[in-house]
Amino acid sequence: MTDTVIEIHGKKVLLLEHAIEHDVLPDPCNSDIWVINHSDEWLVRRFLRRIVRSKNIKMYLKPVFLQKEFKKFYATKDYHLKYLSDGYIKGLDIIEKIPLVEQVSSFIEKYADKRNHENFTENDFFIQKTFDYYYTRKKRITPVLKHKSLTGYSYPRIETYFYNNREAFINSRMLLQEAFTNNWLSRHYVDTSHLCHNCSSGFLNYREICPKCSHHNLKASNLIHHFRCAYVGVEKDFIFKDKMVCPKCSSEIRNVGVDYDRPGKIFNCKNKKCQHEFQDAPVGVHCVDCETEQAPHELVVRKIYEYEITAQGMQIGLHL
Amino acid sequence: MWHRLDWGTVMRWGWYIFLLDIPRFFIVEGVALLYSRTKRNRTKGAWKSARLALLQENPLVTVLVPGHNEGKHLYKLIQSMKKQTYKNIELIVVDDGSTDNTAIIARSFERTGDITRFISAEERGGKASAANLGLRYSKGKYIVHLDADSSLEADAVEKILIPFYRYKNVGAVGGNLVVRNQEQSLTTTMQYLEYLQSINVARIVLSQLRIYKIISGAFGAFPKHVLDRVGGWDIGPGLDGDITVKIRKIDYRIVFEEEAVCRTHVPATWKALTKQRLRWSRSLIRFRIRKHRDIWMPNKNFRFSNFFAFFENIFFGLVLDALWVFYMIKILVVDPYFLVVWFPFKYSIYLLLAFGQFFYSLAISKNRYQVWSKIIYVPLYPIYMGYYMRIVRTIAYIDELLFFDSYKDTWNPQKTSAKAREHDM
Repeated sequence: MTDTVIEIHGKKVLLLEHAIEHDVLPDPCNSDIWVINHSDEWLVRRFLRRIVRSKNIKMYLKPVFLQKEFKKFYATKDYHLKYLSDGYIKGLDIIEKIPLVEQVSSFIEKYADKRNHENFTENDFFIQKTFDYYYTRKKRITPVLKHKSLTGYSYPRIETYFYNNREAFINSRMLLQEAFTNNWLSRHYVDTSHLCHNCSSGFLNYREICPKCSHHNLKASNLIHHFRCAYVGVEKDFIFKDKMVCPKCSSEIRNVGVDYDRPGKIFNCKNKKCQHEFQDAPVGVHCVDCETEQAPHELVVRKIYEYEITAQGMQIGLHL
Repeated sequence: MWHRLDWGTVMRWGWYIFLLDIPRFFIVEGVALLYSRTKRNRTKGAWKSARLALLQENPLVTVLVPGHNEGKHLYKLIQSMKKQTYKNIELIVVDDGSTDNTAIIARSFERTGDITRFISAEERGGKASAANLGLRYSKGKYIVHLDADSSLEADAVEKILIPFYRYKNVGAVGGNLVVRNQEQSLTTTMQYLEYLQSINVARIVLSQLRIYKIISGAFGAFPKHVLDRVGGWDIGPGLDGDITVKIRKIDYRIVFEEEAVCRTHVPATWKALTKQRLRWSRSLIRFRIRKHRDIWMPNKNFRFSNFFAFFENIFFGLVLDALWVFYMIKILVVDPYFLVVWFPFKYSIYLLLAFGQFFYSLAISKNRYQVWSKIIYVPLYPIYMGYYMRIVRTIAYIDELLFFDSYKDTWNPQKTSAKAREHDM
């Protein structure tokens, strides 16, 4: 059983359903445009990833569209299907997409033979693939916020080349960095992030810790200065039944600003063996992913950029 | 117009010189000094075993340094702590609402461990509250109270602790203060001479007579349990004298230890010195006459030594100053020309007295060469003590008696002074 091909505005549109269900890639030569006709998010992603990972230029450059009608089914997970495809169309209205389709097919015609060099390394291939896609789409390589990404940001398409999260993170950044150093890409600042120095995760827990034992169960209490007798201590010292009574002069304290004020704070370490009292609590960072404990200054600071192909990049890319 | 000075005239106008000043400042002082020195020499063995007892027990000692904008002195302070022969020390620095970078400096020393604990009160609360805050977090058996700008001799902490092991029932030990910036100006040189006499010599004597009553805030040591019992420091100015009285009242002995030497910074201009002394003198009225007036009452808590300590203080401070003013005015009114002979005569007598006292200082000084080099300033000493200090003191007494000016002193924040005034402290 195969999926239906219909003709709209002289273009062959393949409505993908069966292929998605069974995870098979149709022959790209039999149709001009692919439209995803399936509502299962996970299956659609599996299928789109196969396209992106394909080594065949006709496959990975194939214009693939999602249908607006299915958008609500795709919204539950953080899959960024939009970035793995060419976006949404509504009611099979492909007229606006025709220039893109023609551009892509003429690009493939012109360059298909020049691709698939035998002496290409895997990395060279990734660069070429990336160039082909973003060049034909006239798009920038934009980072998108992603919950599941280690750093909170993701380059969905490029990361899809790789098969596990950590590898995807490291290799995609290396690839972009290399292209930037070679002046094939220019970059624009988007954001800065702090990452675990061990595993580059951005999922970090910040909390104040005891400078002596690094325990993080602390109790902060206010200092109280009783003006009349110059006694200074923590709030606890003053509690007597349900009143506030000065432990030095036994007079009741009532009004802040008149009888007393709070000139500072003191932390109490709740670790039974430590019980250190201190004012200056350093911040400790705990990595949720690899459980490494570190100080804020040990975190890796990374800047996040959006990339764009440079004139030099185009020269190289078209003559690879 | 010219007077011949015969004994009758001299005694009529200057009886207090021969009946009070010379006996107290020369004879009593000389005898007591001699007695104390020989006794100390004779009991060398007991002092030695007291030192051994201290070193054997080796208790934790808290050096407590409360201060306001004192960050710049901390490096030197830490250096002088590191040089101490006594090693079991925790250094606690309390910042009383500093407006400069004290907190930053002190925090970095806390991180390197040079300061055991730095506690910062962001709102200024006055020196007493800062000292009490430090006391609240002290862990030592003894507390050594220190000013940030003073520097200790290497054996000072050890020496100030020994009296706790030498005598029984010691509630506080006062350290010996030596002026550190004596070369800075004439003002500081005169204070150098004054400290030699009024702190070094006089306190040996007062301690011997058991009427010593001010442990200088710059350098003093207390057992922690005694400080806890009296509730730490009360609102100043003059909190150091006040706490000593509080400790005396619960029947502890107060001792001066001349060998525990702290070199302290004194005001370098006459204006600053005057301000400081006005403050000190006002506290005499405030604490001796007002707050601790029960010392004078013959009730069940009456102690003769406390009464005598106060009496000596008030008599040689307040009463003699009043007498001096009275005679000055009397001469001016009755016979102003008499001053022409009277002034040189009186000056010569006091000059002799000053030289006498100078030689006492020289006799007990460890640094004789330095003391000796200041002998050319002795002729100014009668003017400094007899006129300048007396005028400043008298103004302060009148001021405090009539206008309660110590409660307006910006040395304390207004919020605490208001409460002190309200509760008559």
